[in-house]
Amino acid sequence: MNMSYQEKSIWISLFTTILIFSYYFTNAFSALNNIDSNKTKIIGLFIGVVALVVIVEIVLHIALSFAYRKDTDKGKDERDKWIELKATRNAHFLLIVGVWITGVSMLMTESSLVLANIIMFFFILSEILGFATHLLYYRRGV
Amino acid sequence: MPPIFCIIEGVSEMSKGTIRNNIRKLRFNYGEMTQQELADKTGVTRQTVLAIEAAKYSPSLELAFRIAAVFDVPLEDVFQYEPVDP
Repeated sequence: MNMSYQEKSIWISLFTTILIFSYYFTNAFSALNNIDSNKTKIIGLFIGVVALVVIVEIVLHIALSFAYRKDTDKGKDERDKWIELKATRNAHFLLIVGVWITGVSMLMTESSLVLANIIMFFFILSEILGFATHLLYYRRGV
Repeated sequence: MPPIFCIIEGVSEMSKGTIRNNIRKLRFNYGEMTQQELADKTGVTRQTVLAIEAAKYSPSLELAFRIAAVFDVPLEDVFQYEPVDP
């Protein structure tokens, strides 16, 4: 497959986000059933997951840069930037929906931990949508 | 995704018209220039040149002029706009 450095980078971010945050939300949402006893566990899990994402992304991007050093130097051209803008617009739309849903959820729960996880869920979902549409535009054209 | 004939011909279907390009032919006539060479001369990636040739991306006016300048031809010799009949 004929992929640019930017496209490969997006694939890395997409897989990293899906894999690590599915693990987080699977555990966090089940732990939220008993917030009082699991509060420390959820916060610890969140910090661990964020640290893991940062480390995995850095390591994989360094490896990618070494493997495709020539492409790395070029940076983003106008097509990359245009695709990035369109994908960001899609992600932003979903994030706004998530903010509204979180706002409505405030009527049903007072737990800040639950609300934080709802908004985090939509934030990650919007990131995934952004990465996915990013890749779609690269393949389908803009 | 544009129909396969559009990709082969280098035609981009747009809402109000069609943009054709002759980049592949111009590269061939210009000493069989590779996509990578054209990309290096115009400051974009090879994948962007490929996308323009396949009519999957319409370049900015500035990039279109840079491509025309590489081949030393007027813009109209590289890109042609054909409005759709109402």
